[in-house]
Amino acid sequence: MRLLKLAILLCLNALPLPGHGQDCVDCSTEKLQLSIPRPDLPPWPLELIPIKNVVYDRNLEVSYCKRPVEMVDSIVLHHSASSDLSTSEELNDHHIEKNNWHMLGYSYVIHSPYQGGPGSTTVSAGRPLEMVGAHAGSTAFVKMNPGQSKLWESGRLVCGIEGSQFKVTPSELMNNQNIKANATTIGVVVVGNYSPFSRTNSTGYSPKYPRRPTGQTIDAIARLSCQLQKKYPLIQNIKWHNFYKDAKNGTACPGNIKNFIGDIKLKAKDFGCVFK
Amino acid sequence: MRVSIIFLSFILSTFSAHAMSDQSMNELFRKYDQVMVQKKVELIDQVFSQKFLKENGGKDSFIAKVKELPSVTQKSLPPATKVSWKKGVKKEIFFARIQDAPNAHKTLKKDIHHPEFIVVLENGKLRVDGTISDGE
Repeated sequence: MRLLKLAILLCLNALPLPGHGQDCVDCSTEKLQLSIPRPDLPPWPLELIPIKNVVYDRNLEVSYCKRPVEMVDSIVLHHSASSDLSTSEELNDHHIEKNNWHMLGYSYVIHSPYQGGPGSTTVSAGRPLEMVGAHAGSTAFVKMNPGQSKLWESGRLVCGIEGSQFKVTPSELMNNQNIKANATTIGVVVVGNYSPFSRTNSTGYSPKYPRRPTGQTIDAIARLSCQLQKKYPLIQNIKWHNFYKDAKNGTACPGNIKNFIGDIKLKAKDFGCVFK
Repeated sequence: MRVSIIFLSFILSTFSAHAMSDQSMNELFRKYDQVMVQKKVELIDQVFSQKFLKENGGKDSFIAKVKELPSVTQKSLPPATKVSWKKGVKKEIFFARIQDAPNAHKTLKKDIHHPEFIVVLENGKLRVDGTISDGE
């Protein structure tokens, strides 16, 4: 019986698996692992979560900056501090009207109903990844790692108005050798208000019934983060808006979502991603 | 001469329109505080838009949340709330921020959340239509 098992294993090892052919010198363990079904893990989809494309109005009179996406090393989570029914188009409209920005500041919008609410969780694309975001705060600067410094020196971070020539503009992005956090991060917003109700936060939750991100919300954030990491392996951190703020300019954003970063990272592991 | 008069009347009309809006905005947030601080929930329809109430669980649910807020005694009510606001870049939409006066009641000063208010015109009257994180 033992000999039969050994023979089966040897046969399995001898079978070529897709993508594991000629270059594999000593990969018998890997082959075996791949050939054994893993019910504890989901199948390995190329797309972990579908992303809806939205056509947004843009404020063409206002400048914006472009970057190589390889510059990005972190995802920054936000809540919109609005009702959970706000649409991506409404958020885009508000960012243009209120801040006079080129368009919505976030790169992804997660629509996820509150616990017990109607509808399902969906993700919409926001500001293109090649466009420097507007979400972490204009006064938030971070130290660049050697790779990011190289990219900055290559002159590929440029700013300008649509239709004009984009130029390297250090005053837009740099401060004492530090770069704007917006240039090295991707803004992901969960639509809704995850802070308690108060005089200045009239869309917040009743303190009697604290509002937490649902399992579907956590799952969506983890899938999206993992999908981004698979495409851009240098993305290794999941942070939150208030991480980039000093005490003076503090924000409650992203409310309770901040307490679930550990769960999000754990969930991302299920899809094969590791975040610091 | 005629050009100067036209220019002057334009400046005056712009100034008075702005002053009137400023007054309307202060009035809206005076009522807002009556609801949120003094809990005069009967004023809710004069402060919040129908869309706001619908998207935030309905009027009854909103009233319940207001009633849960810590009580502030009449004596320790804050003086007039400072409102700063601006009009949208292109549309008739307004974004307002409220700040507590320096001698505001400590219960109110503890409040650190500052999303901005979205204010719209509903049937010609200013109403709070939502809140938004400033993203800044």
